[in-house]
Amino acid sequence: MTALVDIAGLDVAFPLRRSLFARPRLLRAVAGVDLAIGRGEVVGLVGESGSGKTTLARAVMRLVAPTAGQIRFDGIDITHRDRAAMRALRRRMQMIFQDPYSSLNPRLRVRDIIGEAYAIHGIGTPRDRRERAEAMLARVGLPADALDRFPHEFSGGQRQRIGIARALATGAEFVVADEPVSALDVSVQAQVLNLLQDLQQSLGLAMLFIAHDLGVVQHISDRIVVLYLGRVMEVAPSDVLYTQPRHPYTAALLGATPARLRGEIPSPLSPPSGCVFRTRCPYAIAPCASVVPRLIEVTPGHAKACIRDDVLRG
Amino acid sequence: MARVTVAVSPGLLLLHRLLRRRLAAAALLVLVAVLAGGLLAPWIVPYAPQRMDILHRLAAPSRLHWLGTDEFGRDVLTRIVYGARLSLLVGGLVMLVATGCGLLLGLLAGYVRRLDGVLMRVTDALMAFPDILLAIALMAALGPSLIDVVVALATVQTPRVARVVRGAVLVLRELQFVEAAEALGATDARVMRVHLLPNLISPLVVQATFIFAAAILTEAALSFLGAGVPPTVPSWGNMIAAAQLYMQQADWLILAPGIAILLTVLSLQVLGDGLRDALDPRLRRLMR
Amino acid sequence: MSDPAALITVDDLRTIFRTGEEVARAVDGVSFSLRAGETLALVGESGSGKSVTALSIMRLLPMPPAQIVGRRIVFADRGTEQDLLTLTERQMRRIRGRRIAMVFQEPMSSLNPLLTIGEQIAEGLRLHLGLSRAAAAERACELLARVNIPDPVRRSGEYPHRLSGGMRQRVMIAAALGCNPALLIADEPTTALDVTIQGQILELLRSLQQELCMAMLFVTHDLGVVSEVADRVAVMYAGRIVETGSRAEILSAPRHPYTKALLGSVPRRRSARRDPAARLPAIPGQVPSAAQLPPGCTFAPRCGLAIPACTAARPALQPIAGAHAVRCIRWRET
Repeated sequence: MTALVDIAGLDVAFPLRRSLFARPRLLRAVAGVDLAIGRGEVVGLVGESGSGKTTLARAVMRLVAPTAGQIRFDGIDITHRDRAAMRALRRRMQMIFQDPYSSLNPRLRVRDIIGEAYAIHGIGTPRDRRERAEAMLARVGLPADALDRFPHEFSGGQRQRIGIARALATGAEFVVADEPVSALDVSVQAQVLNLLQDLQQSLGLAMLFIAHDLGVVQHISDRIVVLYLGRVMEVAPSDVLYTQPRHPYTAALLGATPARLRGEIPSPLSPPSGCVFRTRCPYAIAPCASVVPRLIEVTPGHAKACIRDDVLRG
Repeated sequence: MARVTVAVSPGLLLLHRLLRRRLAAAALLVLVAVLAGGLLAPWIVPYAPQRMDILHRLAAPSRLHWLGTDEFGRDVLTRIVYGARLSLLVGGLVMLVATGCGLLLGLLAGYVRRLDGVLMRVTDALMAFPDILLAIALMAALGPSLIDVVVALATVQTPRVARVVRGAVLVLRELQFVEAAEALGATDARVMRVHLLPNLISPLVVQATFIFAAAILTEAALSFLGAGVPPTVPSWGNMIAAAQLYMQQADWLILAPGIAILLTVLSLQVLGDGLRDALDPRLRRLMR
Repeated sequence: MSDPAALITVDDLRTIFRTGEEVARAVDGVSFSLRAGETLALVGESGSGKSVTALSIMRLLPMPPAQIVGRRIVFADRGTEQDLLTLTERQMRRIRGRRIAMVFQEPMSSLNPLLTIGEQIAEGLRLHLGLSRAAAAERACELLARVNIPDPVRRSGEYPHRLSGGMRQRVMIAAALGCNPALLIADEPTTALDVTIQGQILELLRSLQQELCMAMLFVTHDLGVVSEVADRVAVMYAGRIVETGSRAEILSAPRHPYTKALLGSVPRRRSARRDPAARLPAIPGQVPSAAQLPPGCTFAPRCGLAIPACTAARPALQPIAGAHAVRCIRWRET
């Protein structure tokens, strides 16, 4: 199977300058991530804030430049493509944003927000762009008269639908959804999740679905990746991850460990040696501080980065 | 949809909100009057601005001369109205030039990271001089025509606009809709034109009214110091400068242009504050 | 509904916002009471009026546009009963922070970035308890230790921006508890935090509450959080309490269609195999605007069980059993 999106050894680091004279320190937001997403597959990406999940998403979309590794989209190496060269590919890969308020330009009418996708990629004539935008709105469950309104006239859930319409307007095959429902009320979350799932299935979309909430992710994902301090802790098919978590961090997120996690996520400027999770891990032993655990497959499709094979055996 | 909204143009809505504030409405009225006076000057004043009447030098306000006459027997009201013309012209031109240049510089500084350092150091340097000193220095270098006054004052005000615009751009570019446009493949020019510019209009309009006021004030100061438009041109600053000698005998000579400046500048400031409130309806945010 | 042992009794609270000609009924007749040592969770989505209720008790709403037209809020503290709505601002200030303390969702905006965290906590202690500078600083360190901030003496000299979100929230809790308040109002204190930190903060709040025998009004939108802290729950929708009862009653035997739908629409971890065709039970439509509340039952336009009678009159809160009550005329059929 050739993956639609293939990420290998991806590193994204930001230089952080404390003062004018200090040497800039590197903040490694994403560190050595391997991830493949097949056509029509939904991969969930879970992690706390500071885990690097949004940076990973932005790197995949090439909104930030990777420092190392490789990103391939449909076989094309896009790791170092410049903005102009990326433009043509952007038709095929799109993003849905977290904040329904700041993700829509308050000065544009809905028809221009959705129509921007057509304008940039020269799709259709200005006349039939309106019809196309109307059709997109219908797909996301909004009435045609929404076209001439401004974003502030809509509720959070409706705004998120507009954002989804914009992302799908160019007929993308791959969509990154960065916490698309976490800013919404519970009752509206369910509406939007159902919509995303409908669209994903009817259009055969590949998706990278990011969330901090395991409940939301499981509902929609085929496979789930658990990220901590920019590193993959565990990957497994959705059902397996929930029933048989093998990494202590996943288990903690699921509430499967008896004790609560100690402390907080360390600063990515000075990650712990060895396993980055060891400072909060209830199962940490001395070697955890020296050995960097590799992601090892425990059963086909299920991999974990933990040297303790004697705990959490399911 | 929970509520029915009638499509009203944003401009009308803004005017409505502005007029609901009594003070701002009064300020607007004063400014409209000043503007009308300036525009219609030749038709509404009873005398020609340069007409001298030596027999009636320094005449106190009377029915013939509502605001009295000056040392050459020229009608003060006439010269105030003509002065409004000049003040508004200078203020308006400076506002247009300064907001235009400031917008461009601020956009570039805020959006194109490489230019930020250079542009902001230049504006810092310009802003380090006191306004009036910089304006005098520029006038000395340029010459005493109307255009020179506008160029000098615009140079003084442009860095202010650039700062405000840059600040707003730095906030805007972090908003997700800018990132969304980039994800769609928008070019830099498109991001600036479609996504940044329309969102800069509110801060720019507010800033523009303050610049208008500052320009009128500085122009008057320049004229007063003899570094502005030629002394024969009726300008509020020139009038005050000339009136100094006769302050004891004819206080109306200094009061009339002084009050004209005060009213106009104050009205502009009040209007600016009103616009800021009208454009930033915090109440709504509170309700959310 | 009046409980003689109650610490605070909110009686028919109505808070409206006037903007121009529009009148928004943000809180529309809310009543509840709370005893010492008890936690009531006020649950609702945005626009339900839960935060406005909390801020009305604290009298922290900007007036105008806000206006409290409700009956009374009786605060029975240390043997004296006071109606918070009739107190002067001066009297209220003596209660606020000292007898009723509040913790907010976003700790960063409630902390002064220019003061060390020790100074911020000490400031309240000096103001309310008249402690000396040295005594206040010492007590601040004790409080920081009590909220499990490691190395409190060193930490008390740090500025808020150096702390993580979870640590800041601990500081806010320490500051709130400085004067041993009788009532703590916590407005979404864990919403801005990560899951693993949320648990820690909830545990902290619960243990502090038991230790100090405080009453706690816990405002949240998160039903998962409710199960961890609440003794009793009041579910709010569009400015009204639609169902109230014990935690068990609300979470396992809800009777109001809204409560049921809300519980149903939480994406839950399931052990069963994922069914690709499965849909989350969603509530159609959205929360009505407080300025245009529908007639009768405010949930009727979104309710699957609505009948014409639902929109005819405003349903009363009907007792089911014990403290369990529901504002629905069809609760027997749900």
